[in-house]
Amino acid sequence: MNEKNIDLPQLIAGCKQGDVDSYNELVDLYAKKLYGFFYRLSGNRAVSNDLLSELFVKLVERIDKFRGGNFNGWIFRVASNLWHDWLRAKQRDVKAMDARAEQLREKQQLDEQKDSDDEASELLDKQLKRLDDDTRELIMMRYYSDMSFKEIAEVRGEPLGTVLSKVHRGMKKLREMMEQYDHG
Amino acid sequence: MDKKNEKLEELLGRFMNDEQAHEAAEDMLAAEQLLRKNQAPEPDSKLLNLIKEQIAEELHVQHRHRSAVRALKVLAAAAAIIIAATIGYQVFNPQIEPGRNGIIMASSVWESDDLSIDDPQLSPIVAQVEEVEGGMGDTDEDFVQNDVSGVDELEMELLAVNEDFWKGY
Repeated sequence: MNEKNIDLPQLIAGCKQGDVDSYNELVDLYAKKLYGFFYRLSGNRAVSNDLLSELFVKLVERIDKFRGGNFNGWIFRVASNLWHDWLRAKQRDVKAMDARAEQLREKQQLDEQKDSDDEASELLDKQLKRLDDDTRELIMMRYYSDMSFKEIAEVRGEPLGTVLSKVHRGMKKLREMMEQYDHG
Repeated sequence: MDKKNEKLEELLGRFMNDEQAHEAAEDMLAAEQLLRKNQAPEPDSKLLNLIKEQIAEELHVQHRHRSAVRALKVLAAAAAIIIAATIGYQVFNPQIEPGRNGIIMASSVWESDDLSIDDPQLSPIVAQVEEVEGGMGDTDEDFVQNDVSGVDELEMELLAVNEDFWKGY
């Protein structure tokens, strides 16, 4: 779908009125970006599927709370909140995990590896996982949301200089790690 | 301003010198190139269809919920109007409840002088009272008539005695 031909405010107005077609268009418009965002953070297709489904259901529940302005920023903030909820739930699960659950997790990790489409993408996933959670999320928000640094700083509630510094350090590290692999 | 219109080097230049800003911008663009080259997998079309179905279902639930809420609001409003109308009617059209502050007897009864008509139960008593009153009237008349003739006779006898006495009888 061509983003340029879409009247986003009209689409959002349609969603607020409960129009199914408007929601379907919104799914077509944002699903790829948001799925990429979740996948690059989790490295797992099943988790990304769940998070994407949950996000759109949340969108139906909360669309009335969007009071205009930067919809990209709003929807990625919802996505970011969902991701943090998932991380917290996972941390609780890990703490409560017994030996049997540990075995299941190992199996899941094997499945995750099978999910990776090719070697380079798999490597990128690994290098991304070496970055800290916060930096990785900022880089992915920047890449998938198409927001400016100023907008990201507003969404995150952080100073512009801090956001720029974190993203720069993370991207530089990512570039160096990938170049090492290429040369190695 | 979105990402495409953002002047990255200029922005970085606000926090570092020109050379550093140029290098930082290059690092960022190179990393973005890497991400573009190694795209994340796309969501399955089945997943998207499932999501659309979920949205339709959620909208249906929301619609039902909103309809129920709307119906409840209409009912509540109707109930409020009925209560307000009832209270208003009572306030502006006061009615005296019978037995409390009501009329003790009908105005026709109040204005009438004939007790026997007003209260049929009283009529025999009234008749008896009137009969007794009538009887008492007759007795008085008899008494007066008898009394007058008795006095006359006595006076006549006294006169005769008086006359006879002077005659020497």
